[in-house]
Amino acid sequence: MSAEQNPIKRFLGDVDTSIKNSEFADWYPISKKEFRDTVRSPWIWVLSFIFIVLFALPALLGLYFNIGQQFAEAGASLTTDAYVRFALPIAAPLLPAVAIVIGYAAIARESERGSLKILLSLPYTRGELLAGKFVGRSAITLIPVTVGLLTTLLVILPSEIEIAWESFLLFALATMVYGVVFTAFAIGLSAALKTARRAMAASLGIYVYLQVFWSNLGAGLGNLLSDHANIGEVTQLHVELFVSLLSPIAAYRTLVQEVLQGTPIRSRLLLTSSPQVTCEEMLGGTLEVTQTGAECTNAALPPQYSTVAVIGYLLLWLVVPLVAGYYVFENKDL
Amino acid sequence: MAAIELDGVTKQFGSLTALQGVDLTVEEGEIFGFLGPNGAGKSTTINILLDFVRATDGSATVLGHDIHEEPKRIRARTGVLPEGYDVYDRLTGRQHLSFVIESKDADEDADELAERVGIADAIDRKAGGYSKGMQQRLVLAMALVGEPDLLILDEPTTGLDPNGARLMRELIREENERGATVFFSSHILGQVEAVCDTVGILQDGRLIAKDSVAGLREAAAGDTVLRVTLADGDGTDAAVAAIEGLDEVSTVTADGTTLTVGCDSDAKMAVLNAVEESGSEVANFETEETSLDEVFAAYTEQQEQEQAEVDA
Repeated sequence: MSAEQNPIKRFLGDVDTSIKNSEFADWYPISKKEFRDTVRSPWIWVLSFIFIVLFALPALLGLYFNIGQQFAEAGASLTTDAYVRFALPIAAPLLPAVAIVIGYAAIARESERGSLKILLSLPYTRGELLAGKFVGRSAITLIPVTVGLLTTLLVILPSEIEIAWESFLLFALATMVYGVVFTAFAIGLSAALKTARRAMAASLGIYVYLQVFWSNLGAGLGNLLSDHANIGEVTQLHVELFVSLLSPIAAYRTLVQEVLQGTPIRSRLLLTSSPQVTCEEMLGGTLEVTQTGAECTNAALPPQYSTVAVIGYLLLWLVVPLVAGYYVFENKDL
Repeated sequence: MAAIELDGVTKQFGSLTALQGVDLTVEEGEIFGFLGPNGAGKSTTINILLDFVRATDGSATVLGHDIHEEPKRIRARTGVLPEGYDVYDRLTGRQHLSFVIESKDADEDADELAERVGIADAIDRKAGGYSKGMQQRLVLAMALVGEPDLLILDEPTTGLDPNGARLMRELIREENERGATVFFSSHILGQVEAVCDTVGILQDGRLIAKDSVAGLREAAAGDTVLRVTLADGDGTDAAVAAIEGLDEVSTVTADGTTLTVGCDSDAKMAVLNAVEESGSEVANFETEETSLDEVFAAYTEQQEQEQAEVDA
């Protein structure tokens, strides 16, 4: 079938042409090249496969062994929310690792091997090069995420599990953003550092720190200030909560939990060492223990813990590494 | 307007001075050979022209654009064969060429370009499987995309077999005839001698000479070598003494009846006359024109001596 006859191909061709002709998309050929090149790397396929299997596994288990039932809220029917609850602790640590492997070599490897000289003898600024790399590699990251989500849907559709579309799609969106954030993070380091090895060590090191130690950082800092600076308990909880939310992993998790629970407050409470004090003294609410767990009613969430703020903290991990990486890359000798 | 203009360009890497106040003008339409031993600063100069590396001091323009202010406009009109490049192993030759064609907004045909550099039959294979020479041809084809006004080729014959080197020279001439300025660096003098209009010699980060190929030979012609064979050996000593008396002569050595005379290129007749006057008969003589290699050596040695004097 020729390109003219195939409507999908024709549509893609039109999109391709219109992006190409856009004034702000000088980086576009780089992103295409980047996608074509990276998509042929076997490592990325191995990692993506592992991710897809682990990501869709809860759906399979829920379907065939009805394990998901225990995650459903009492009395409610089994929905995809149970799946999301199961998939979240898998995606949260695993997706950053996949994204880092996709992103870390983006610029440092080309710089080491010398192909960067070919790229930069073409009419691109270094900023456009970085933009093209970011778009192309982010598209690669979205492949396992999208395939994982579609696999899940395919498994769930014929089953008796109900699809809660709104929360499922929000979860899908948050997970895509999460993957892109870590891709950008690794690319930023790849632009700033000299070798791919260093970029990988730095990005994996920071990721492990975020994953393993960051949750203690807020509490530790709070304790330290309370011991030595005489701050009150509420201030201490503020420190704890705020520092926790600065981690992209915590930010992603709390955002998804918020979607499942329909309110941001409960998911934020889980990030503090004392949900009761946080609810009653910091947020001015009342903690009630209900069938489905603790509920903080009549509380007002300060703006720095709102949904928009947390999305902002998550996106900081995209913007700051890219901007800092660009700044270093722009000013260095290749 | 000059195609390339460097004005006092200096580059320091830490305490190492790679370039020291280089002034250089390459005229439009010229084939310029940039010569120098490895480590002289040729690649650093090219890297500065392409804004890969930023000069510590001095300024430069390429095709009238400041190298640091408008690198993108320069690259849009320049084709580059960089040194120490690497191709994308997982992409085919065609994908490489299409990428460059799209990047430069050109409308050339990848097949035709591949044909020009002689890799047409390998165009749909992954470039990772190409030999070094084929990769070099591929990158050369990429440099030709979009009929650039300037070609910058860094050691273009590295990794090429004699056929490849000949093809490279042919392409350089073709591109030059089309109107492109060609700037290429090499440490192999034969390559430069064969195609260049003008040659610049870089050593230890300084441009020590810039001239036409003929002019350079002339300039270093202190040593045209003249071989004089005498009819018999009896008058050798007298002949040597007579030749040594000439101002234009720098060295004389005798080996049997053969005298080897280093002299100015226009001193031939004076030497022969001196021999005849000393009473010997000239059986045969031949001149040996200095190769660029020797010119090059003469220049670089001269430079070293001056440097030694300065240091002392």
